Amino acid sequence: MAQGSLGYMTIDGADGEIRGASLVVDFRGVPMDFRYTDPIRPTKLERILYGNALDVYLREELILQSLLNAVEARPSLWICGDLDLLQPLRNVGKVRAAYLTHSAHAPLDSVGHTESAGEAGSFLLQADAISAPLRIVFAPESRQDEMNGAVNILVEAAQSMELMEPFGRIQKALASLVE
Amino acid sequence: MAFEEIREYFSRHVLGRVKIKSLSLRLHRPLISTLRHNVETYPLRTKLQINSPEILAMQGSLNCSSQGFRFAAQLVSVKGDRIRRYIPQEIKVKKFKLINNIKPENALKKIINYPQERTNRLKWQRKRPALSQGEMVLAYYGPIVEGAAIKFILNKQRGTLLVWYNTNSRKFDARGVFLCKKLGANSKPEWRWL
Repeated sequence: MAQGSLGYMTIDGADGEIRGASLVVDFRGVPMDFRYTDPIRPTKLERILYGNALDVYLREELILQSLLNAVEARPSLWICGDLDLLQPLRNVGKVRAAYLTHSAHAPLDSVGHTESAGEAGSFLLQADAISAPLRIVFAPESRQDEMNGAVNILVEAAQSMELMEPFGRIQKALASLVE
Repeated sequence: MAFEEIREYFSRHVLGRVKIKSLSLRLHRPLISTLRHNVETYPLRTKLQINSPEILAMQGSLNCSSQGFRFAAQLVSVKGDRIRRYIPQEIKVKKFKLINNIKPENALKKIINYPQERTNRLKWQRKRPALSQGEMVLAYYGPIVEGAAIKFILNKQRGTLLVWYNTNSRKFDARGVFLCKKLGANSKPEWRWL
């Protein structure tokens, strides 16, 4: 059981700095690979030269590409906590990718059950029997079998780990690395 | 002497009624001005400071003026180059390296020692452990791979459970654990696996 793995990708920007990190865990949440970038603080000249494209360039081309190239343990599914990261993550990572977040919705009928959340590619997923459903979003061009596969992976992983928990661990690790 | 004689002659003829004054032949020095003028000049090459990248996206020409005098943008020099009427496609800057290479660090050894945090899911868990009289359930934490866990610490401030795993373990079967407590000041909390 549980030979799969989940990859968590986060790229945060604050106070003019931007940094990224990726964590690949097995289905127990045990880390298999963890990479992070040092904070990038663009200079005034760089801001002028890149203009509005700077943020996209840093996030999608520079940090995301570098992290994906560096990761050695290839996860079964990439999960991001930032909706803007979903499309580039799928395009660059060339594997299944989904945006995952908490919801305050009442529990669905059964584990593995999905319900449309309104927008195309957006669903509520009852990943386990002891939590509220999660909101999951796929990139617009995702195929149905691709989405079904991702849902199955999440349901299997949720039997032995909390799906959203690794995001908190990444933040704690990054905070301690800065100190 | 001749002047004195003439004056006396006329004086006798008009019986002293008319006072005759002599004129001085001395002329005033004429006012001489120079043709040299001081001319104030203002340079048309005015320093132009660009504070915002929005100028790159500006369409059309710039409105340039100095001391109220308007002139063409082509006359303005900006760091050795003239402002062009088109948006520049390429800017060459000496001694400047674009951000193009970052190397992610591997910190697996650091994060592997971090505990996983489990939140209290009692409100979602329908099952309850068998309780003795005066005993109550405080929390439910899961899923936890019991066979791989080596340490638990209850974070009383956050109400969460911190779990450390043996990373070499091959156990994957997960369970949940209840935190129970008997009413009374001296009783200790008790863990019960589901």
